[in-house]
Amino acid sequence: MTTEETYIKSSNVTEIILESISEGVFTVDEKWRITSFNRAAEKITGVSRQEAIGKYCWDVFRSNMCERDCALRRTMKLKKSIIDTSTYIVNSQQRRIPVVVCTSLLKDKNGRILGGVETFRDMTLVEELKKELDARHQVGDMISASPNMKKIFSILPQVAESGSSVLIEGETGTGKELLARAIHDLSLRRKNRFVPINCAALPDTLLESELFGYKAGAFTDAKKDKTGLFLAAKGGSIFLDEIGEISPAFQVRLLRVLQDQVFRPLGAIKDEKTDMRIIAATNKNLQDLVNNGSFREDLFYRINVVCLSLPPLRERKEDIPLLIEHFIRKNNLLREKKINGFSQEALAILMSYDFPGNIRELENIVEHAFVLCREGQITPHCLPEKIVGLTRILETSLSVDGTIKAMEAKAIREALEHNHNNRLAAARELGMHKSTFFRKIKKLGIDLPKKNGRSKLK
Amino acid sequence: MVRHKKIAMAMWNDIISPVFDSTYHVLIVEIKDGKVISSHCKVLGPELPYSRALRLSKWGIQVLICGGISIEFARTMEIYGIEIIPFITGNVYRVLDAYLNNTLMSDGFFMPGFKGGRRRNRFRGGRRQE
Repeated sequence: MTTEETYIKSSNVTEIILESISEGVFTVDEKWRITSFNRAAEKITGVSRQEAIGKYCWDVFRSNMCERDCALRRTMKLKKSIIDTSTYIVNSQQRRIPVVVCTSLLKDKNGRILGGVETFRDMTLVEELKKELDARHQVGDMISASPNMKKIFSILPQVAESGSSVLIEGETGTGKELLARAIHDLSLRRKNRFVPINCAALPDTLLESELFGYKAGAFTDAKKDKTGLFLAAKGGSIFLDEIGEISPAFQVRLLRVLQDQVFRPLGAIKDEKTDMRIIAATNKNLQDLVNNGSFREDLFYRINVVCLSLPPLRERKEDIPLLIEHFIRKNNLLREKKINGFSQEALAILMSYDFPGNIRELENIVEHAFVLCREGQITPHCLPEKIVGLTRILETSLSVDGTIKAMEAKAIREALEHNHNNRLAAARELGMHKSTFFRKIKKLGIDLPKKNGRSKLK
Repeated sequence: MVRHKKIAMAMWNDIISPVFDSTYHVLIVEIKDGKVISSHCKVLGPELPYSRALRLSKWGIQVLICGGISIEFARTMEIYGIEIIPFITGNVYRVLDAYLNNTLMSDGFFMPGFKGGRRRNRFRGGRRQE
């Protein structure tokens, strides 16, 4: 077989392979016109080969990268391959198809550049599977894989259906309102309104008029009737956030509403019936407030039928990667960016941070990183200085601590050596009590020689 | 003849942008009695379908001429009463001329792979004159 025949045969083989693979492949010339288009490319884009050949690649591929961040353009400019860029295309049925793209230069046998080649993989199935996997860790808008949260997720449908009052405890930013919404959305009241109100944000008088409403003429500026939130939440749920902040006087009024299921708007002469579910939340320990007399016991027991405690983020750090992924997806969509995730170093910094602001703080950190990072991975440079600085201090203090320990171990070993392994003499040389000496040996994990030098010294 | 309309054309350099969802510029053209009375370019930021539809609606856009557009964006535009002429390709000014002359459909401005379908029925601006 001549060289030419071998070449023809091998090109046929290449063509057969290209036609049989599931990855879309197309090539372009230097003017960006498509010169070849395989079967998988036809299937993914919905454009036939006949229509695609000779057309500009952006008219056929229709990717969100085409305008500003074309991988093929970068390959042609930098003369190097680009691997695994995530993007999406709009196919001929107007569906967004998530794809992963690789680009390379197309050269002839003499090394002359003929154009570029782009391969792309349809990631629709992978994305769908990812969503299904996420669903296992998700209730409403809450995401968690932690055992404590999963316990809450597992009982949530029963809690929601019961219609009982719920008290949600948790630090700020742990997702109390999201949990309250999830309870409402899973309940039989989901077709009616979910009305959230922050009790700490308003003084007593305003809170009263917001919740109870008023009649025209009830006070100087009451020109017309105002419907209160208790009435607005009819058939639905009302979410009383930071309930621990309400005054004792208001607690009495609220208690009456909960007990008798009636309320009287300001200036009204008749009671109105309520039909709402109370979901209350607090970032304080209500039991403590009851114990010190600042929260009424009867009201506490009235709202505390079912109590759900949301753990802070520092106690469920396994959720950090999941939450990060969720926030990255959200921000990528909102800001049309292509951030893949956090680098190992950046993730390590976040994992070692305590998040006093909990999930809200984590969300803000991701948003901060999106402002500074354009694409690829988020590195420590894109994190707020406050967090990176804290980690540095921690690392420094850890290394100082380690150095001190190493020096102590060295001194103890040397003292033992000087004193022929006599522990008491070594302790005396180091100027410490024998019990301190033995405690340090245990703490530093120093192996003592079996032979004690006591007899020798004597 | 196009009487009085305000149209937006998704633009990339001087051609129709391949994907409206991620386009950064639109050319706003005001047309009266078949003639362009004003045109200017506006910058768009990355945004969700609802925000973009709201923005175009506030600018008084009645027709959007664009390249590829996802169903999510297309439906939202329609909710805001914006007529879409999708899957158009080519030089923006040639496309505009074709739109004004009602020859957009016949002059080969469609992207490869576009089969028409539902949205083609809504297409009114460039219908060929009998």
